[in-house]
Amino acid sequence: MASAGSGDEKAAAAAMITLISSDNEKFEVTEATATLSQTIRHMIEDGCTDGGVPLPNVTSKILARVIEYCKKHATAAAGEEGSSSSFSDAAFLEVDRAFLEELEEFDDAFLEVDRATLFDLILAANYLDIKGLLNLTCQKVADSVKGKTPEQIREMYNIVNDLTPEEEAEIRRETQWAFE
Amino acid sequence: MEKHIKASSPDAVVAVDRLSALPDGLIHTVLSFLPAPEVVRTCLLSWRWRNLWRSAPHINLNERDFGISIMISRDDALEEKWARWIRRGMEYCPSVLNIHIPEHHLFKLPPVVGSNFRHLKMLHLRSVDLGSHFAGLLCSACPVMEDLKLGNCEFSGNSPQVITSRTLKKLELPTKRELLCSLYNVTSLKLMGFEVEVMLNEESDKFPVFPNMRTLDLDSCFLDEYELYDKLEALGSFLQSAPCFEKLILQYCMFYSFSDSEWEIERKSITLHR
Repeated sequence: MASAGSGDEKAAAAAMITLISSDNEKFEVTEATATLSQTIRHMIEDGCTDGGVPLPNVTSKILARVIEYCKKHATAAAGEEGSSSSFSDAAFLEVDRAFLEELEEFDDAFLEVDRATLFDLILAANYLDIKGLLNLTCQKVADSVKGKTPEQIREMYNIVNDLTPEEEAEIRRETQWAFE
Repeated sequence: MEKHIKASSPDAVVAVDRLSALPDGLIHTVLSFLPAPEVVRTCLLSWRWRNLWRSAPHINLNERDFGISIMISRDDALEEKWARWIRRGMEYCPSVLNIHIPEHHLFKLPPVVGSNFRHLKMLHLRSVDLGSHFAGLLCSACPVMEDLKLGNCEFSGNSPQVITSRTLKKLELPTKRELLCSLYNVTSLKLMGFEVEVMLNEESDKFPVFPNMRTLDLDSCFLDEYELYDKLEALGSFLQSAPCFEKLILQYCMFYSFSDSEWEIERKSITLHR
């Protein structure tokens, strides 16, 4: 029987997953962090993660950000599971509330990125199937167009208006109620 | 903003339209965070966007989207508009339908073509006049219905209404006992405003049997003028007819909270036969 110390190390080492970005950079993450991605969770369940998980659709720059998000949110998930037994209900709620606030601040700061990065994050979140991150980033885009006119949205996102004036008039007629 | 992009990612082509380049599913996720009129207005952005909103799996509609902020009086033109929306929605054979009308209205459910409900798993209605054929419709046209919730709903017409369903698992209604008959597969039953009188004044051989019911949740039930003994009798007959029964939830039952009645009665035992 190994000593307690080396046993822990072994357990920790066994629970590490290597993620490999499209530009071949390697990232070591805990299983708890990695499994926020349903895509990776399924790979772990199928035992296909030996030798690392290649992610050909995600650059190292974006993968680093995604991992940052998953680490924070994995801690949150672990906190929720673990603390219910060690705190009284009231204390638990207090801790819970403080942690949720911290998480919200983290998310807000996390979204302070340029638009290109935001879209890269959306695509990565979709590919890796990380629901929380996908909703967070899509909501950010939605918020940016909320209350804007079509012209303003086009300008903001470089959308080329390829509708003829006749087509535009027809669409307006069809959906008149939405413009009232 | 464009300048900002230029500065922070010099490699990117500035005029690239990343938003339109997203797959439809991701654009729908973005749209799901917008109010309905704004979702529809995106159709003017470009040819790519023209019909995207029509295929959105989820649209959030509320009364403000109908051009009104507060509705106090009954407005027929408005109901007409609602009915049209709901009818259109139903034409797509939804799996979930949730209509929640403010309490002081009673909205007449537009005529339903039976096949519209063929995929319907969950139906939640509040303050809806269901008309006289609704129960029959549920029996014949809802082959996969699992979850039915009717709040403050009315059945107009005099014909007796009976719901028969093999698939129903969850039912929530404030209603008459005869509706409970034939729900032999329901696993979770929530009743609101159910009265003792309804239970006692029926012939006992007509009492419904719930072979699969595990949870019975009674909310504001048995509040009518009966002795507690009778109330427990009524509750007991419920439990007796549910052989797999596991969980009973009573909320605001038996007494009004302001009543001065006390639980001083002869002990009544309810025996459950397995």
